[in-house]
Amino acid sequence: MLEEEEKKLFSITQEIGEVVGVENISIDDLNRSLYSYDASMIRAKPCGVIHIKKASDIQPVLKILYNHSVSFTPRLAGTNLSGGATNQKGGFVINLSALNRIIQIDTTNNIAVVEPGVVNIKLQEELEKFGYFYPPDPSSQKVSTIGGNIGENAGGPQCLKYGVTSNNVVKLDVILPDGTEATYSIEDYGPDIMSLFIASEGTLGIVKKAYLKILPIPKYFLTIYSEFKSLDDAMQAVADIIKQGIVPKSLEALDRLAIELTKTKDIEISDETQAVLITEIDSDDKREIDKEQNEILKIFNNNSAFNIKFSDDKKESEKLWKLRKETYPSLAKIANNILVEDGCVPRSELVNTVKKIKKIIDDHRLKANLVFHAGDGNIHPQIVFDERDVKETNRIRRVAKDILKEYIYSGGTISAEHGVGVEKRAFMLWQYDKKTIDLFRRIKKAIDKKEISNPYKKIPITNDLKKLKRKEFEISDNVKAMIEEIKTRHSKKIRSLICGKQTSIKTLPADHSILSSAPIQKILDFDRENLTITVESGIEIKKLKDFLINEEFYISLPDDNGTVGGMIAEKRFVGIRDLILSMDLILSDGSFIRLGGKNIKDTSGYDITKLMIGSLGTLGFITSATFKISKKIPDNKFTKPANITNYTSIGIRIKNAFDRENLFNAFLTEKVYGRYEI
Amino acid sequence: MRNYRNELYTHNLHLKELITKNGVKDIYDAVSQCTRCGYCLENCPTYLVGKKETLSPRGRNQIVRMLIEGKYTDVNTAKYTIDTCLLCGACTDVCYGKVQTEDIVLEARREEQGHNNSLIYKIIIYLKGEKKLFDICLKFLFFLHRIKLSYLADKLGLFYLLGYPSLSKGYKKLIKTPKKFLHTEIKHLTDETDIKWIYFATCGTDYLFTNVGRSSINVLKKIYGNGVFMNNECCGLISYNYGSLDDARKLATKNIELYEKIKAANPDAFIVGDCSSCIAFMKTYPQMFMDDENMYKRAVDFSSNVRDIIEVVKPEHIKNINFDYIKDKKVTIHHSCKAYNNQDLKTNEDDVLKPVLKENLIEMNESNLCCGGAGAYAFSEPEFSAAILSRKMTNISITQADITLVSATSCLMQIGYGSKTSYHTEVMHYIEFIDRIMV
Ligand SMILES: Cc1cc2nc3c(=O)[nH]c(=O)nc-3n(C[C@H](O)[C@H](O)[C@H](O)COP(=O)(O)OP(=O)(O)OC[C@H]3O[C@@H](n4cnc5c(N)ncnc54)[C@H](O)[C@@H]3O)c2cc1C
Ligand code: SF4
Ligand code: SF4
Repeated sequence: MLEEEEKKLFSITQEIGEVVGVENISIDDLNRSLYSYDASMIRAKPCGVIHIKKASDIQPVLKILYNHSVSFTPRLAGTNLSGGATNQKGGFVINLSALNRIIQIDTTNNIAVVEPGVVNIKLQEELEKFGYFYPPDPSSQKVSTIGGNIGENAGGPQCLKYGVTSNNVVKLDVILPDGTEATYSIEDYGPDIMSLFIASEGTLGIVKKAYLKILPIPKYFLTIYSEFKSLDDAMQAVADIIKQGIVPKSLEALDRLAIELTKTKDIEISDETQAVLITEIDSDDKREIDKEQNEILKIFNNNSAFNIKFSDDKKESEKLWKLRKETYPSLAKIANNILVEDGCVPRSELVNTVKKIKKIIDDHRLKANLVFHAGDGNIHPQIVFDERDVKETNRIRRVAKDILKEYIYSGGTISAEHGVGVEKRAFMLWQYDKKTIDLFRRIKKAIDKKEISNPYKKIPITNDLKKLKRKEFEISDNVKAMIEEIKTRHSKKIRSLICGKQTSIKTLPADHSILSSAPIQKILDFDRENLTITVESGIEIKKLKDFLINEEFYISLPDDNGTVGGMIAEKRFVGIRDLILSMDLILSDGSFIRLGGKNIKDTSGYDITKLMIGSLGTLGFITSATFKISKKIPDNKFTKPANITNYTSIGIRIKNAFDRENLFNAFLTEKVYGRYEI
Repeated sequence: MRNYRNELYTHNLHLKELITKNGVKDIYDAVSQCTRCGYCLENCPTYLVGKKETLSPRGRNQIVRMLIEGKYTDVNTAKYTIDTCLLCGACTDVCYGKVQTEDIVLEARREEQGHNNSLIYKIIIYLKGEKKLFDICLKFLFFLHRIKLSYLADKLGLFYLLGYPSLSKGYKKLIKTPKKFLHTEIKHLTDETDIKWIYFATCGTDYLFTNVGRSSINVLKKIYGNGVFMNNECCGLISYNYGSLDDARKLATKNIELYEKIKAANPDAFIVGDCSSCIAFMKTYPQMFMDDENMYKRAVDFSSNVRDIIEVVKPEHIKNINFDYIKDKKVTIHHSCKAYNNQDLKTNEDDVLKPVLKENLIEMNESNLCCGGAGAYAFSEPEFSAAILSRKMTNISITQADITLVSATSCLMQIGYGSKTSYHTEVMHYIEFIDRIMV
């Protein structure tokens, strides 16, 4: 290290030492070496480690780092699989593990308030005492923490019914990279900034406190274990369950090798078995359980399932679940290294994609098992190897890329729940076009001006790769025309008033021209097997609902005269964020932005889809949105946002990242984002 | 494919190979088996109190791997990570790869400390070979201790001699010295015939907790009938953990020879002892003889016949119960890590006591979490040691137990000390309790 740098590091260390105590900052080789890895294969030595013992120390520490422009990487249990917890720029790792206090459990409002270092299972154990649970249950829950789960948007078996981390967080206290404290909630008036922090992998600052949604444990549950003679049969059973409109709490699949490694004395599997499904249903109504059980059983029988076992006893069912939850660590029995792929595809593509991936694995004679959050379309091939063998490692990496491509070809995503980190950042370019990647870059820059918060993660550093041919719906001619129109307006700096049926904007503000979604009303994709529908934003809500009812499907939207686009932009009810999977939008310069697609899980980019909810047309023109639909009549509860305005300068910086010239709904900009300098 | 960069770890200072539950592996393969999944973190007492990677099993494995690969060069700067391991085995217990962190850590310690060349260690090893002299020295040190010169006794190596070189200072003062050593008391138990068991007196019971030994013998007689005292040598754990492997091998060899003599006339008799640490170690004797085929075989035979006292008492053995003694007593079990993790004896005590005590047997939270007494635990940062004990005492206090049962003598000391300084509970070896309830 140069003398100059050494001096600088020494002085920063001293400054930080004054805040956290000298014993809690380490720049020795031991600490640097042991904070150079996480559960992925990525390595990078930080310049030092800061051990935070009090949440109130985060803010002053970040301030110091910001002043010196030194980078930092927040870290908790270090179990992420994409290199997220390593510092790639030689800055500090900030160890937050000691912040493990459960601050409040409020069963009246169904909220738990926790520090980021609370281990997922510890929270579950505490909640269980009150008869409650927190739905996200990653297989790593025995060690991984709420902060890490938020950082990666972790999912788990229960997420099929109850949603992933982002569906179960209601408010976050964060420290932004410049040391500013801020609180964002799903109830905020304006865009859903809170959602940007989920799956942000520590690139937008540090979560200091999280307010989580908790739920009463349903009265009844039933775990169903079933074996199949082929993986194809098992996948077909999954597809049939989803198609039937049954949403089990969990629907998980394992192949033979996975079972062999995790199975205990308690479980006998037959020689013929090639796949196992573990399904769980739950409800407060026993009749519903019985009904679903019968339906599922019928499907299983149609797909030649055998050795079917049922359990409604917690201990018994835990044994069955152990089989699934420990598939990853159990690979340590046979290997030193495991490469877990983590793609998600539309469920209608599951059977096909699994076949293709299986073929790649067989063709390359890899030792790999396949486990899936099958109900979500989330496929995890887990390939074992020994990284000490460089040639073999390179071969595995090449094969892994082929697998990633399969997800993308099927319209899927390269990351469902493990994040992008360093491992997959380049492959973002296979999934997104350059304009969308650039938008991600601008969002990062808007919040982290100096690019010091977990740098070089999530977003590709170069533009070396090209978007692959991905199964996606076509852009309609009317949208194409609209892109041209917006480009023209951009060149002439004409301001637009974005509207649907103009239901809430009664008078046209001066110097704005109307940009209406009225011409775009198509149903772009209706996927019965995936339980999704993609519609253009100008379609009326009533029309959409009628269409679905005709097809015997339902969508949980309130009766409203307006358009789909208007409902999203105005965030007419809080729960809309849990219904929308993805969007297309046009920015004020005419860039067309296509987000994730119709995947149930996606942690590939920043969650722009949710950010757009409540953006009131100030960020971009939403051209289409993909919604989850169901076969059952939903029990509609529509809570209005509390309209808390709680903005820091971030709001306006995000506006800048989308619409630098303030051409979209300019008259609203100040109202939405407050009076910050542009 | 394999690429050793630091040949030191193949030196004879180290074990040739480790026998792990996941196969026989040399140290490099054994340590490379760690996938860094982190599953072990929340099971490790030092990580739980420190919440740092440098205090975690994963960190310990990674630093040794880096040392072997030459990516980290100075083992002495890794002391904080290496020396703080309690060797409690809790990490291996939950690890699918069965990565034997404690053995891996010991290899690094051997690299760091070499074969212990300190004068005191040499004297002790010499004395261990000269039993009579050993007894005299120990008696003298006990005398010093009794007349309140415990500081001097400590300096002269009392606790080293006992096998607990780094016991907490507070406890050293509290130690009660027995009037008579166990081996002198049970000498007569050497020439019985038709024997079923061979009693192995561990140092802790022999020289300090003689009551425990008496109870073991009582219970063994009641359950199994005739048995003998092995008149054994120290198991060698202290050399294995703190000294040279060769010394440990010598002691192991002597014990194997002693056993073989008895076995000749009594082929079905099993060896049994009452300190889970020593017993767990004796079960791993074969690992020290991987480059000597003959000794390896003999060690396997020896080890497969070693039993922990907690595994030989079965529920059906408890027939007549002293109800007066157990009346209204709440009891909890601290699962000594060397039984629970290393020997996989997870429910033995509960299976026996649950039917007897029913609701008065109170389950302890984190019952298998090491109390900080495992082996002999030198903590460079005393507040950690205190924090680990304090966590254990909190868990005990939640049970409100009158009696806390343990199965290793180091737990008797450590939790015994905790009970004097924080929550008061009677700390007792499991076998003493069994002895009292069996009529
Ligand atoms: C055996 C095993 C099984 C797994 N199973 C699953 C599974 O079923 N589902 C799943 O989704 N994942 C799974 N994972 C991946 C991993 O456990 C998750 O990504 C988990 O959420 C990481 O949590 P952590 O506490 O280890 O965080 P870390 O790995 O320490 O950090 C994760 C990311 O979050 C950032 N971060 C950490 N703390 C903060 C904070 N306070 N504020 C902002 N950013 C922060 C970090 O910089 C990093 O980018 C598994 C991993 C393993 C090893
Ligand atoms: S020791 Fe085992 S449990 Fe711990 S990180 Fe390594 S492989 Fe995982
Ligand atoms: S042996 Fe015990 S103290 Fe050492 S790393 Fe394993 S769990 Fe931690």
